[in-house]
Amino acid sequence: MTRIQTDDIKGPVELAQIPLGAAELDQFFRLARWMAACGWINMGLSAVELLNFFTLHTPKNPATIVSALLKIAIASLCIQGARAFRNVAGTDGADQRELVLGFGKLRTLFLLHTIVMVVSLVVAAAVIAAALVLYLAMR
Amino acid sequence: MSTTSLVRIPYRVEDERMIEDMARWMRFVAVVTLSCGLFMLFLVLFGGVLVTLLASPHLHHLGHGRAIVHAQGGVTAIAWAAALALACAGIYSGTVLYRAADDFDRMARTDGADQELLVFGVHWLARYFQVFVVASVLSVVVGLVLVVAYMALAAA
Repeated sequence: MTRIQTDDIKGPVELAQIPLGAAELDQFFRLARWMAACGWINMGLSAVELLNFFTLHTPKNPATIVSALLKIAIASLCIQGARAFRNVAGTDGADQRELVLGFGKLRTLFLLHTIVMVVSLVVAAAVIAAALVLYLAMR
Repeated sequence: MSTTSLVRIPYRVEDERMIEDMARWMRFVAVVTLSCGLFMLFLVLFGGVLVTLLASPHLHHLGHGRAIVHAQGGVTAIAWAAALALACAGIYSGTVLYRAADDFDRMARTDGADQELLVFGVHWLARYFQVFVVASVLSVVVGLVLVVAYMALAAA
């Protein structure tokens, strides 16, 4: 394998083309395909949640709306990220810009995931603590 | 692999910081996913042992619990298998996400094999999303099957 030195590149220069081989291009297309699938699944699940919320005659839980909105946000980030990674592999002209754009979407996506996980863990811990306190108080 | 590979991709400093930040959040999500998968695996195995004990003909004194397991044996088995598969999917997806985060982090922090690390990271990340999609579809299908099975049991 020939290693291309780019140490002579200084300053804000962006690569128009990253020299990816066929197998490497395939990895990018695979990532774009599965990311987009993940986005559309989240979009579908949010649509089902919203449909249930507005059509079923059961007590309305506002958490359903929050959950649906989170899924829409995750879906749009996945779809936009997938488009950026597809452009890295499918087009030449702004490969590095598209790559950084895709990483930006991934960063926001995983930050959102982290916030959701932390909030879920805190809520779960609070519920378990409350149940324990109630149990001990009743004994 | 390509026959040519960039030793260094000339990211701007703020882009490198952003990629390091992304890798940090990816690692956090990976560790939590892996831990949840391990905890779920423990619960599933524990539940499996419990159900096996309930189904045992030697435990007559468990009466009601035993009757439930016998009446809904097939449904319980489907739910148990799906939960086991999801626990394994959680452990695997946490592992591959951690590897992706590690590759992207090294790509941002070091120079020497930027393109190789980028492609490795992309490979693991694609695998993570693939497992996520398959697990989501499996959850929905099993959920529907369980709802139909319980409705059939209730009608009977």
